[in-house]
Amino acid sequence: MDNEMNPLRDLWQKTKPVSPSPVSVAALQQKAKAHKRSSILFQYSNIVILFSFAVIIYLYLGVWFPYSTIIGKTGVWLMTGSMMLRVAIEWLSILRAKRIRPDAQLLESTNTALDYYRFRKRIHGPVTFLIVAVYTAGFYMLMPEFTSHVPTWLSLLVMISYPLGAMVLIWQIRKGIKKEIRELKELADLQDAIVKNQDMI
Amino acid sequence: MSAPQPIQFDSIYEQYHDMVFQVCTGFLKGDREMAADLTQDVFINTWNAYSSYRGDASHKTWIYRITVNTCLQHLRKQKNRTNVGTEALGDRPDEEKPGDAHFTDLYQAIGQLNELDRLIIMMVLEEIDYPEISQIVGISEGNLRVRIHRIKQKLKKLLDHG
Repeated sequence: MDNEMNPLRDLWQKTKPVSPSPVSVAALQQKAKAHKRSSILFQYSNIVILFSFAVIIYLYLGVWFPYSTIIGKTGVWLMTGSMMLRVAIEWLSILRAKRIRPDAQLLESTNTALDYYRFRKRIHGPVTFLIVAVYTAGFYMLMPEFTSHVPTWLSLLVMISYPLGAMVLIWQIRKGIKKEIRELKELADLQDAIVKNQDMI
Repeated sequence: MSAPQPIQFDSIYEQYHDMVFQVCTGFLKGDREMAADLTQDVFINTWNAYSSYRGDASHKTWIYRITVNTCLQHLRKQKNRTNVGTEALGDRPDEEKPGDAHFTDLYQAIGQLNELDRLIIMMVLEEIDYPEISQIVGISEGNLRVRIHRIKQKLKKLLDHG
């Protein structure tokens, strides 16, 4: 051990703070269990919402209001399929997040977290926009058949309100991307700081 | 080297609580209240990772790995929440500062280091061996020595001019 550090170490040992009495093990375990539960709930809630939405779309547009034309049927499948693809991506994302181990070496866990956020950047960026585009294409493919069954004002209202909804969705996605890009940058900086000078040794 | 024997979570908690708290306090520039919360987060992560302890490192190294990862994750979360840099000890009200002048000087100096250097110096001050620290961070011992030398020079300068 480096002797030059002794004065600092002595100063630290003399003045370091006294630890407050810890919470009981039982209370900590209870908190840990609650934390695990809420984390699982948070991770899987997206999947449950998206999957339920896909099922509702399929039941509503494919069963209750069966589209008979090829273009209408294709529209239903594109909408349901794009939602299911999103579900699969979210699932994959959870599996990748699980690879980030809090007990791994710092460099290893930083690299794994970087891989995860690079993956998130890809799926939040081009892949999600592609999914939104396919879903939108599917939606407008329903319109010819839809307009023949409902009054014109209603089909117009549906067609006009869709882009507004899509804009809100895109704004939400962009917000998510910005947050995750910040995380990505932080992790890249940390990785730089860890490996800095490594080559010089 | 034989693998460490698994021990009960209770004894890990009891044995390492103070050590984790000291590192968290230094990392958070002397904020003891937040350090107590962060210490709890460390042990929540420890509890969650407990079943997957592989025995490839001593319990102490393992706990330090979790501490270092949790501290840095906490900082990232905080930055994301506030979207600003971390606050300096000097920004806190006086009554929350520890009373001892040396203590405050040391924390202020440590607080001016970057987050990784702050964690490394806390482990050095807690008398963790260099091979163990290099195991925790994941860098070579040679690189670690160079880095510690630089941190020490920076700290000395900060304390002399403080």
